[in-house]
Amino acid sequence: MEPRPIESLPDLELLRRFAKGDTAALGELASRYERCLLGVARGILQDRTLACDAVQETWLRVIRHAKGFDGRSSVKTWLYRILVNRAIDMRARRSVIPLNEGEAPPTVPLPRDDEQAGRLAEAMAELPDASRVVLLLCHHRGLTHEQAAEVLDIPVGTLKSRSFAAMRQLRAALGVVEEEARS
Amino acid sequence: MNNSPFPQDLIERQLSEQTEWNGPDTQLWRQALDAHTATTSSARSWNLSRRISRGGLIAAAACLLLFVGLVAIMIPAVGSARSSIRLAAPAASPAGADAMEAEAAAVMQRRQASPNAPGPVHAASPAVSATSPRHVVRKASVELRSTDPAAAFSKVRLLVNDAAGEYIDDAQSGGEGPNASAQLTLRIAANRVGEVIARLADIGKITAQNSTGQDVTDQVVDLEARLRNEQRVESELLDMLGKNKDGRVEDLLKIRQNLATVRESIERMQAERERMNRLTTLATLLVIIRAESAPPPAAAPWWNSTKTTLGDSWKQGIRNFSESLAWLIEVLVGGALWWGILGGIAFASVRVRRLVRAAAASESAPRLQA
Repeated sequence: MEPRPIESLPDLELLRRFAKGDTAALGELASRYERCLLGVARGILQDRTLACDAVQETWLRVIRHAKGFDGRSSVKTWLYRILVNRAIDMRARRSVIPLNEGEAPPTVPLPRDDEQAGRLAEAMAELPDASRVVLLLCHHRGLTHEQAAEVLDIPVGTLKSRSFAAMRQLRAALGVVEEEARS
Repeated sequence: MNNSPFPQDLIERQLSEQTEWNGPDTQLWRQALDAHTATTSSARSWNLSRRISRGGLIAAAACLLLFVGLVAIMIPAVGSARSSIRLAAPAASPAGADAMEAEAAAVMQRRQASPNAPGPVHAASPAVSATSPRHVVRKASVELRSTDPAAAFSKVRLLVNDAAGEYIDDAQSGGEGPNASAQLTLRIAANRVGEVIARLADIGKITAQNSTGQDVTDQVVDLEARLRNEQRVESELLDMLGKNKDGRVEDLLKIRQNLATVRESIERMQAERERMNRLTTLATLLVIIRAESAPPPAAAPWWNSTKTTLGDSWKQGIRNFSESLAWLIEVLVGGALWWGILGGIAFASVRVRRLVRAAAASESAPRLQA
């Protein structure tokens, strides 16, 4: 019987292979999730360099604890959970992270979309960690609501209600009137 | 501040874009892997040291237990050695009029400190060597059947050799016909027990025979060592008395008083030694003579032996239990410091293991709370 190509293997099998010493398996896992993880990290930390650090630390922990993975959750949500924990810890270590640190400060007037993105980022920065992470995970394209709930270890219903509350906070921070939002 | 409205779909689109990575492709997993590999050697040594430390911990615990056991066993030996050293050390020589009194006090103090230890004059160890003669208290009993118990009684009395210091400790006879019986307790030379029993076989038919021996060598040696020590103290006190005839009356009286105490002790020990000598040189032989036609003695009911056995077992069990308890207390108290250290090490290792596990578990535990 011909061995299955590594690209077609499920995440759990890849992690087990890596735990047995197959580094290519980790490469395959990274090709599936590294960009997604970087996106979420950047969303939480608002900084590319820090996001890279968070993802690298995430991989380090995956490497260290791959053998101990018990399979109670999926590998994907395990990765995201480690990443979210790392990002939260990094934010806690640097209690105030200036917005867009490490990125070139805008020197020319922003186009309309970029201006809106900047305001949104400012408003997001005003939100508590819990609300911000819920919003980001719920709107991240790589995760379903069920998977986001698993990452945060909460029921889906709770995730939705928190997401709704977080969205209201965000809109308030943006100065959007509720009636206008309803319309 | 620009207050331009934010439609819901725009907010959601912007949020989604915030979690997208539009930068270049990264190989962070490989960097992490390289970093991990770089630390592998140290990690390996750490793992090795952990394994070693785990094995070492067990080995250390075993060594500690062994050490505590040895300490518990050696404490009495150390104590007696310390006493010997104290005895061998020269006494302080106080100057002036109190010198004699102080010296006498030192002699008596040494005597009290080590009543069981031999003095420096008699430095030979009181321990029993393999070649030293054994002192055994021998006891035997013989039951005879004879057609004429009265005649047998007389013949047994003749077996005692008065010239060798043997004697009859107790003799009773009575009854007539088939109920005639006699009982004698003979004290005969220990080396003649076999010979006397053989001659008893000529007098009548031996129906039961029993002999026991109790080794009292340790007691004898110990007693002799104590006696030598007391005699040494006595001679020291006598020397002191001879040298200080012109000393203070009060001091002389004190020396005489101490001398009287020591002599009393010596006499007591000598009497004890005599008694031990008698016990070991003369064996006790109980001879019971019954008529040949006498009905067999009624057998004791079975419950008597059961009761005795149970009682003996109970006593032995209690004795064993108390000895075990004493040993346990000795080990626990004697090695308290080591137990404390061992407990501390065990506690620390458990704490470290828990912390390591908690650190591993916390990697995947959610940080955010509602």
